[in-house]
Amino acid sequence: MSARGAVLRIDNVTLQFGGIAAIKSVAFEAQPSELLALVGPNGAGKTAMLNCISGIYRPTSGDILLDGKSIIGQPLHRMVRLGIGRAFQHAELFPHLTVTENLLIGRHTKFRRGLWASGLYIGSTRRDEMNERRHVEGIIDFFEIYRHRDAPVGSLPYGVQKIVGVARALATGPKLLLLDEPCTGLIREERENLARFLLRIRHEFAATIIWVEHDMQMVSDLADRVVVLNHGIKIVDGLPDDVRRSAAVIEAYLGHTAAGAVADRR
Amino acid sequence: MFSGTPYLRVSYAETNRILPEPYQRVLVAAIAVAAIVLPAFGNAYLIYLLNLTFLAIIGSIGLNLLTGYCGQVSLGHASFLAIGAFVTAILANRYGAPVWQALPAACLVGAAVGFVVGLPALRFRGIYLAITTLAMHYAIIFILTTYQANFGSSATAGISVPAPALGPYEINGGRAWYYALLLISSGVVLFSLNLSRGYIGRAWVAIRDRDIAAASVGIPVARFKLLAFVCSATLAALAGGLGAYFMGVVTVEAYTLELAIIYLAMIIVGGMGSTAGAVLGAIFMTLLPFGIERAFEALPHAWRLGTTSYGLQEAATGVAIILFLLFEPKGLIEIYRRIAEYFERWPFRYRELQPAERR
Repeated sequence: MSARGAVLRIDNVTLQFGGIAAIKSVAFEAQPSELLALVGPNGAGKTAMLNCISGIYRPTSGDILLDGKSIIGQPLHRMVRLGIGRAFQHAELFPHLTVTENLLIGRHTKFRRGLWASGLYIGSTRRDEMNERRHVEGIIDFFEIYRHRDAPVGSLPYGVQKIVGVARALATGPKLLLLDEPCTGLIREERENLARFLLRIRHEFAATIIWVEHDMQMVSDLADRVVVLNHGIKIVDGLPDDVRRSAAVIEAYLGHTAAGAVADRR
Repeated sequence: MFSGTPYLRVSYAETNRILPEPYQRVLVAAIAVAAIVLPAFGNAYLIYLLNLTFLAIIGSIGLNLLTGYCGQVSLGHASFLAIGAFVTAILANRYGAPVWQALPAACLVGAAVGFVVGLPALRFRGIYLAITTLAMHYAIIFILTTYQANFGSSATAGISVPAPALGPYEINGGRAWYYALLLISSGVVLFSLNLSRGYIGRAWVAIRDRDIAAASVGIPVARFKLLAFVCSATLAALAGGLGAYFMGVVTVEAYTLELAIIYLAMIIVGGMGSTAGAVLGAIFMTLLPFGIERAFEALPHAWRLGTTSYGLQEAATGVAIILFLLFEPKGLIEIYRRIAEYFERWPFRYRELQPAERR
């Protein structure tokens, strides 16, 4: 695959905690507007990889390039300005604030700076506030969470909180959206909605999505490409159907003997 | 904030008002009118108490920005007040600076000290941060004590401050002070309300609730923590400087750790993370000791208690605060919210579902 045009390039990234390597020399790329699934058994290093990309961890070696420029060592809050939005596995919302306020916090970088203008409510403060509120209403419409608009997110069901987490990440206006298991803990109807949202985000916002997921059925149905990690090593990288048939993947998920049995049955 | 109101909003501007409901505007207008005409009826003692309350409001709003919104516990608030008071007193007494120079200078020095005291907050959280602010408190008080000891004729005399004058008008006497402090504290309240409904207030709350998530949406956490310290210390220095002019004398003995804890108590009793709560807490904590003193005077045979009376009064103040927090842990602002919610739906009643009834 060519390096030209890749939104994100992971270049032999290794992440070590003491003597334990969470990620061992992993390399892959994400193309523009691609829905790239990152799968693997528990402890494979999927979330660790997202944390490296979003700047929470600093890789021990290797490089991460966004649009050809290294983003290693950038402080966490700079990542939004570089175009990386992140939704967490456990939503990590601001529980006392309403859905609208959570999403407005997602728009933080769009407000013009100024303590005095903000404290006196003069200058661009009012206009910014109105414009961002309008933008946030658009996102509320997109994710169909109008009825929860003014509810404190801490009081909402878990499934809605996860959607709000994705909405907050999208509110930052990213070109690269990192989603950490957005479907886990969702009921079937919510999963189907989320599947629809994922495809719409890719088409309407033209965002590249890196999507950590356990639900292999959903991954095969939606993802453009799949990267499989196991014990911190990339074992396969390819189209969903190829990955599903790969012996290495079956072995990683089901173990050595079971993999043989599946192969026999085929 | 969510209040479950049945009122319809038809524009974004309406959702972002400080006082969204008509009854709130009526209430605030009524309080404003009452505050303006009150000196015509109140006696000098009441006006003196209200002046103390206004000073406390400015200080507690400052602490609420830092501890209530941004979640950084500070035990250094008394030292910020002391900085403001001393800078004002030194400039006014020794250099004869007019009020319009001395007060801004006090605020600037307060801001600088707040920045320095805030630096450990980039590394420490919670109780560890509280201890570093405590250390800063003692360091600042030590410096001011040394200065005071070498300043005047005696170590405990303090520094006298002349009455402030704006051109030919000298602010002197309870009523003049009342209107000056009413104006300034109203401005501070408005400033705090504006910050809290804008991006700065939201960023502070985000840092308080989840700092990693806050950074992940692009909030520079370190910068906003320092901003909270600077704003808080500036308002404390303003309150300290005004207090210096109001009292006419500054002594370092007034700025104890106990004072810092009383300010923390104000925002806790009022309701953390709410500007209106900080105001209510400041009123409550300033007036409560005087109220209890009056209650003790009204007791039959109170004179028999003699000097033990003072200790008992302080104990009663403490018990009152403990009881209050036991029964109303979310503070005075929660009482207001409950009453408002009741009348919003009046004459219908809304009952929260009990856990057993949830399906």
